[in-house]
Amino acid sequence: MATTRGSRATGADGSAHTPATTRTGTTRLRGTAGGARARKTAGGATRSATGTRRAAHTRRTARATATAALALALLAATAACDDEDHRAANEKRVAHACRGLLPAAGLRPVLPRESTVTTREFGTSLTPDRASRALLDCTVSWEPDRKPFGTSGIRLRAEAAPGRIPRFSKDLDDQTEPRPAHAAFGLPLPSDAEGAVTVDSDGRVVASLTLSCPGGLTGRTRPLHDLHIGLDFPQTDETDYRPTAAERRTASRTAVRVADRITAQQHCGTRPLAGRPAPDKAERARGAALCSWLDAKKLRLDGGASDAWRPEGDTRYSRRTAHCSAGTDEPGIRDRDRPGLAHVTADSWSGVHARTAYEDHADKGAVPGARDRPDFPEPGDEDIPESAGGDDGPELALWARSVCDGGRTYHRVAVGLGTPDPAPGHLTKEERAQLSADVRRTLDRYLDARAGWARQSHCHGTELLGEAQDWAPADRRKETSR
Amino acid sequence: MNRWIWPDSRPARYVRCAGALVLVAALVGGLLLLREHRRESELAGACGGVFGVPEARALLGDGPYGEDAVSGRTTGDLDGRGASLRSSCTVEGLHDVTLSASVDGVPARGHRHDLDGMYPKVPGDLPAQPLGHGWNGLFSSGESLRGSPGGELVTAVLLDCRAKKDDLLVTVRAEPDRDDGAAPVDDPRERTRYARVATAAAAHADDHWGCGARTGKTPRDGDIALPVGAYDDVPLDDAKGTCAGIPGRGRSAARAWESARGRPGAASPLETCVLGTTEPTAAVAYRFEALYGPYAQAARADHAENDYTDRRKNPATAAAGRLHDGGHWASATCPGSRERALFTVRPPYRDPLRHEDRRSAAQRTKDRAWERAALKSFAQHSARTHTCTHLHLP
Repeated sequence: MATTRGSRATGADGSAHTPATTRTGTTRLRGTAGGARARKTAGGATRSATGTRRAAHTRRTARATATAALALALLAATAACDDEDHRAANEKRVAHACRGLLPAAGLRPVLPRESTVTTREFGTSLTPDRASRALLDCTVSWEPDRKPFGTSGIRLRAEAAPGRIPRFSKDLDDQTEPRPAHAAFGLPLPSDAEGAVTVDSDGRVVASLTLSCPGGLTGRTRPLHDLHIGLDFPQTDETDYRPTAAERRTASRTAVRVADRITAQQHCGTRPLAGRPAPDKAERARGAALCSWLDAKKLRLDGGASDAWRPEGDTRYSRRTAHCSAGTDEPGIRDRDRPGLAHVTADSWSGVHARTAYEDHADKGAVPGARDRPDFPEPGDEDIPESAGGDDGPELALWARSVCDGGRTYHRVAVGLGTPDPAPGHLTKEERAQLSADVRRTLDRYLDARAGWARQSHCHGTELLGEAQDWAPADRRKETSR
Repeated sequence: MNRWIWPDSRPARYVRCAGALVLVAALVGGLLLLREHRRESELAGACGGVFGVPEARALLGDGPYGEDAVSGRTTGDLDGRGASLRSSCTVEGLHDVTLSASVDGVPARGHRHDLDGMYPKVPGDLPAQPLGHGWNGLFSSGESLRGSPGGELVTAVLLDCRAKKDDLLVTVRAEPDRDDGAAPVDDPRERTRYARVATAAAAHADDHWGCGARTGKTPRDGDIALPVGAYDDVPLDDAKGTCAGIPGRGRSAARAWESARGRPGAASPLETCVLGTTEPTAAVAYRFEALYGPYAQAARADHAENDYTDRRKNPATAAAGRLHDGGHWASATCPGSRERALFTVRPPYRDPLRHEDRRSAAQRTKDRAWERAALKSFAQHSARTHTCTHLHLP
């Protein structure tokens, strides 16, 4: 029974396969039309059959080549379109993100070609009924293109500064470090605003802008009067430590646009920042004179006679902060084998900057009495902050407090010695007393100078807070008295 | 006949081709579904399903999370007889987010064995916000007045289980590791996402262990209160939340860090009010706490364990009194809990060896009188919100 079924199957199979076999399998490739042609030629001359076979071969090759070419072209086109699509679509997304506040055109060079960007935004200026510490926080992120280094993403944040400057950028908003010399904002600002644009240590262009909102900013537990805007994006040339002119323009214009949008929305009662005229001659002269008091000869400071003294600092008056410094790489000689003064600095911080600066210094143990506070770590604890002095020689700071045009203000004047050889910090009592006298004289001169920041800001009610030295106190370190 | 079995006409070939395509599509679809199912079951199966799949995936990503991403263990149960329930589960998700859930039985008063450190702590020293939405819970970002910017989000829910069952404390901690610099608490949608993981876990725990408590609602989008940050202080006179009603105490305690008070039935089991100054730097002068249920239990266990100086009278043994290292405590009876609520006021801890107390005797008496008056106001307000009675004051 099994055999019968088998033979029947064979018969059916054989009859089905025979014609296909005679057609040498081409039918399956070429389809019905080809099969009909093959049957026709089978009835004609052998030579013509050979020619047809050759022609068929050529056609097949041509068709295969055409198909391959088409596929390749399609692939290439897809890849090209894909690339083009991502860039165009990405630019469009950035332009639409954040209520159109991001400079899509200016950021075109840093947007990715190979991936799409995603955006995220929140803040009380977008959704007033949903609590947030941000007035506006927009992030554009993407997978970086195939580069071993470099950063990706754009971030824009505007917030009411609640008692201190938000730590948006450690390079711009750390009040213990003066801003880099090449961090100019690039656009004229009123004296109650402060801005900076620079490249941070991660190779990102960062902008920071702080301005006043007398009408008060809403959204937090209490009305606040300082608006801080931070923006950062990858720089185009990752080898440069400064932003290019175009990057600076993009960053500062965006910050100004955001500031103007928010001050209008929040009824701050201020005039727009955009389109401010450049500072006039009087304003420039006022800025240029801010640090002229820091003349080492007039201050009777050692080393002041040296030609290497270079005064530096603010060239534009701001009600918010002040910075002047002078220093030399060749400290004068105080004594036979002791270095003289290497630098003098004077800083002031008003209003919201005052607490920020004081706290930032206090965290490093660099304010009067910081090391005696109950919550300051015991010496020897791992988390004891490093002194601000670093590798430099010992520095003595004197702090004072006043009320100035920008509100409550802290002043810090510091004098530092060059690195003594061989060991730092071994001061005689006389040398210590000399440092105290130097720093006090400098503070008095700073507060009293007519063109200086303190007089320009009408500081009054000044109260001396005390000294803060950045080297270990005498009882914790061997002190020589000679 | 052969043509019927394997027809060779053009339409037939199209049909064959389409069939093959459908087959391939079905296969791919099936594989995708299988993968999706496996991803879902990865979460659904984690620690008895304590995490709601959609809620957790919104934070952890879709997975797969890796071989050792899920870990957890469960001991004890909720019937109040043997060891109390301790269940914990951690999932390390994508995007550097780690979620962990703890479900802890809160045994009735008297079973105070090894309770110190048994409940997850709420990090940071600033007030947590009430969770709201009908839950007896809190939402915290772990921030501190100085130093710690937070980073750990904690949502805790206390479930009042029916009689003969221990209560349940469900705590979900998240450690998001953002690289865009935005604090996750700051984004209202993200806050909701984190809180929803906890409310889903609480609803699951309630069901899984037969707690039978009244549960709240799923938080609405963007509707979780913003936790209190280091710069969210208000003048004490303007306080409207947990610091409201506390009498003034001069410049060193002029600023208040406070949370919202909550409502009866949707209050927080841990209420805090911090008084201090921001001049010249932020410093705490006094810290008020209202501790309910497990938090009161843990604090009393801590006192029972560590108060060597005065074993006879401390929050574990007396209803009210003066704390030996400064400050006072009070207590009250609350509905649904056999553990009395504990109210404390403390000045910041100072090591007596390093910092000598230079106050005169008269000044100390004055300080203590103010502490008692302030604690009375704080405890009365909190007890009212939690409908507690029989307030004992020092």
